[in-house]
Amino acid sequence: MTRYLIHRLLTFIPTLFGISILVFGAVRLIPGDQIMAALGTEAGMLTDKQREAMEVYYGLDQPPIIQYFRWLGNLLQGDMGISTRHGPILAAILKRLPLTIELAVLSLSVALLIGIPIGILSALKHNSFLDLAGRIFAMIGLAVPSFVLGAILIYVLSVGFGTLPNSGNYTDFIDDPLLNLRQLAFPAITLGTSFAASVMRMTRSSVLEVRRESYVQTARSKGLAANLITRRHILRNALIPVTTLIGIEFGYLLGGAFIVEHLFSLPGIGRFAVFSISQREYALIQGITLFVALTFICMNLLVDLIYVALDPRISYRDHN
Amino acid sequence: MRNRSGLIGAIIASALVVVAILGALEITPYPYWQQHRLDSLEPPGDRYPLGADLFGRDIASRLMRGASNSLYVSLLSVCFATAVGATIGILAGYFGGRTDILLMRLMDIIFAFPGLLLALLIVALLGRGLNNTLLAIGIVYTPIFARVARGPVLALKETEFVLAARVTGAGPWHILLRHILPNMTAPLIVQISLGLSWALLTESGLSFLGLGPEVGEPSWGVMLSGENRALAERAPWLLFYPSIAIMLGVLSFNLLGDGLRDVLDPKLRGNT
Amino acid sequence: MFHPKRNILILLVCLLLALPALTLADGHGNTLIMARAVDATGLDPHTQTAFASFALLGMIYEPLITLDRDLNLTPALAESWSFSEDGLALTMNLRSGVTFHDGSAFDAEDVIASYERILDEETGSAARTNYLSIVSMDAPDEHTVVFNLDKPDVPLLSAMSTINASILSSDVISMGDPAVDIIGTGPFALDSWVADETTQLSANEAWWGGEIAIDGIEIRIIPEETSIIAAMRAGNVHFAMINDPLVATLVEGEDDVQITTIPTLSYNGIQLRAAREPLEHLEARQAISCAINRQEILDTASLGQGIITGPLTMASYALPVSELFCYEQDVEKARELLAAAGLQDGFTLDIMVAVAEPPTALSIAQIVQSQLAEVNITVEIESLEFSTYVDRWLAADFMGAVVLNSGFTDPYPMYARYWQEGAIFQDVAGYLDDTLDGLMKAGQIETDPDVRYEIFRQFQLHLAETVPWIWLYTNFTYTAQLPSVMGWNPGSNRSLKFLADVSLSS
Repeated sequence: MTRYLIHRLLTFIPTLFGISILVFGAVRLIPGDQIMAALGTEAGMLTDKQREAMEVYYGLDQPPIIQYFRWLGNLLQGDMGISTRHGPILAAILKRLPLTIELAVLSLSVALLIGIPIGILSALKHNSFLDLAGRIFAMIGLAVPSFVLGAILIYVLSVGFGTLPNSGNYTDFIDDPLLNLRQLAFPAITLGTSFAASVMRMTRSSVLEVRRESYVQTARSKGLAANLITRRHILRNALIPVTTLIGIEFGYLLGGAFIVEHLFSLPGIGRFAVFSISQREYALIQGITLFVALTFICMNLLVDLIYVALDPRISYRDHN
Repeated sequence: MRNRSGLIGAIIASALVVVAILGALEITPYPYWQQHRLDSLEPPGDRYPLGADLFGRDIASRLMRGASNSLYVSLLSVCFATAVGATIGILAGYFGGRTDILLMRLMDIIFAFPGLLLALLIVALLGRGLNNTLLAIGIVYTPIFARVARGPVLALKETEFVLAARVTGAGPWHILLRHILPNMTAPLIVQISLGLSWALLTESGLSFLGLGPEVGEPSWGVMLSGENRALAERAPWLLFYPSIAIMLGVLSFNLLGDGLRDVLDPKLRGNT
Repeated sequence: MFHPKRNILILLVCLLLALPALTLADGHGNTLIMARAVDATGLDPHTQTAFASFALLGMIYEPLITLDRDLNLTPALAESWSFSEDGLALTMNLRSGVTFHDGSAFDAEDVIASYERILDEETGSAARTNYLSIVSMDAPDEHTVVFNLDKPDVPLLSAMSTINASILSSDVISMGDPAVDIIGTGPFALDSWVADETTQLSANEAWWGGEIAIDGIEIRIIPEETSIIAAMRAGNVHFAMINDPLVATLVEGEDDVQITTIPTLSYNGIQLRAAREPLEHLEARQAISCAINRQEILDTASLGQGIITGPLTMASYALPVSELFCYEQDVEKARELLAAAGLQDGFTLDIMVAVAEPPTALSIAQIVQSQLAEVNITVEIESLEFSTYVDRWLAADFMGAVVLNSGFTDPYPMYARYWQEGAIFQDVAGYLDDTLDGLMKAGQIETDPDVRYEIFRQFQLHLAETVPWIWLYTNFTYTAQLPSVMGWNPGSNRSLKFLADVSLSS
């Protein structure tokens, strides 16, 4: 187990290194730089000397290779650089990450709440009308793009109920838990419903599969009450693949919550990332990408470890 | 097909494909690009069954054309991801060793790269356009297909019939094409049907960010973004019908995927 | 371990908490809650170019001269000013008793330090070219500054009234960092700035302009303008800046949210590059101008929110559009012009557009595309992300571009960058002729208002007829406010400094 963990942690290094090169190169290949993003067409009014001064200010004066290694060197010492608009980048990312993680957790809760019961029901009543109806109901959530659902929720809340829990005044959980949860409830519903369908599908198919596994057949032949079989064997085993799914979707939620953060004006990491691309803040884009990737692979490692804990058939003694 | 939900999925999907073909051939009530500016924001009625947009373009015609563009993007991006991803996964799984480590590490990098950011960077780099959008979506989903393909190969290459083929002196390509590929189509097909609905939604997400097909070409995602979103409150039909279209698309791909899964899964075959 | 039931329970509790307690108590007392979609790109007033930055900095900093509600020059930190007989010396008499937000006194030293900083190339001020006629500055006493010029420069006064000419404290310039130490003389002082999220301002009690009724302003960035409207309908935001006419017109006729429409000097248009084949044919450009229907573009793309305009947008110089070449759509004439240029079979016009800059840009391009199709001109639209667009624009790598260009109160600085020999954007503008060059040069130094008017009348007629670009319509900008916001009256000036007059009723 320890060897497995060390092996997995070691693979983080090449992955993150590859991502750092990929993102570093990509952002520099995109046309336009931070000076243009900040000044617009007025950037052309700068004299050569003025432009040089600006390049020094934004740290664009060195050749990319040197910029990369300088950045990497600082990174290894825990320094991600300084943004002209957001100050120290590490602090700026750490300030926004908790919101997105909290939103991801809440959305997943919504998804599990809707997806698991319907998935189980749909599998137990396989190919019945209930199966079909339940699945279609869950899939509608998946099928409505989150920005449409979000816009409808915002409209209904503000026009119908004269309220909108978050109006650009997002409050951290620590400062005011109640207000914080109110502010995140609707974004979480918006995001969560779109994952309910995949949770439902995964639950349904793994319940179906487990139901046909031999040990369930054995249990059945031993005459255990059907209800007990369902609870003891099927559910526990069926939920294993769902945890894998959660790992993947958690990663998606970290990087992909942008649209919901944008609509509900939540200052999370997704919105931060898109802003930093449009502002061409290279160091910021690089930092955010690495952080989100790191969170994602850690989450997946965690999921794999939970997997082992849940499933007696799998062990990670000597292979990956 | 005895599978009811799969059948419903197949029917809806075929209907959408027919609509998309009509859209691609521009057999629509009005030319999808034609502006009737005097009919700006005309509600659904006799002349425009699903209403008109800001420029007085017929929503129904644009939905049909949008179907062809949206399905084109989702189908081809998934084809790309499958072709590239499955090839990588199969090669990695079959040859193992260094090849495996190298290829899968590469896939891990793309997999761990935040998907929306990756797509955003790719489109920002290549510019807007139908093909660039599908490439961006395809690249993002490639690692998933590589993983899906690699697993079964690892299992299959230890099976008796593959070992037997190897003993008789069959080359690796022969074994891959004749023995391994046919035996792993089931998980791939299921993954493809899932990928289609993801791609459809990702396309609409990219459109939200102002990236999508060339200006003037509708896709369902494009019809849900830009000025249509700002106008939604006074002209709800602008968002209503494209949302329904995406919903039908996602629904049909999912039902179809579930159905195929039930039919193709050897463990389930013959049961129920 | 994974416990679905526990998750479900936690979630249920969350939802129960969320639903009943929805009314949000915005107990901010006398602080104005303001929202807008875009934040300042930076806080150094000398280097900013975006209106989003000017809006914020205009509340914090002040120039020597400013613009009143009708866009006339009016005293700010200078009480009065005068040119010498030969026009080579501009004397500014500074206001006394003014203090900076840190309590230090404002005097001639601050003015000189600020202008020296603007003129210093190290600063990187894009507006520097507007002040190049200044060769030196003297301070005969604490409250007088004399600007010595190398040639008479009438437009200098209007350049001095911009945020880029804000007066900073000489202490900050010499010892601090003007991008970080935000210390101005304006009605509001900056307490904190979290870029793209929130800004806190407090009223400057020592402001020379009089008492400020509100305690401060909290600016929240809500990137989606429809979400801003939703926040206002919910009563959570008092005041907002709105850019998109499609969003601003949503609340027309609503009692709960009022919209103030502010005309601007900015204009929507299409920059053509006459250097590109076949636009070098005068007739080809003229045909474009004749074939489009400006009113229809305005009515559709901006729902009629704007005013059809020629090259000059300021009331004091703008000509009635009926005097301008082909401002009435004339498709027949367009066809004749194309035939005369041998282009009766049409040609392809590539137009680039920046996504959402402005929000109406893509709509304008698509309507123009449809209108020009009538005369066989095929428009290919390329939509680009803003920075990519800027990159291409600066490199003059385009055939046509949908633009929203800023206007000035004086015609000369508005176009000096484009249409003069050696002008910095001459290549981007893509066109120059002797008449244009001569008119611009005459306009810069002419001091007689009537002669100057005539020069710029000819200038407009000439531009409309030679069609280097297509001018469409001026832009409106909007503020939305709750009925509890009293005394908001910006007139034709979109500066937020007038928030100093606002009070909140309960």
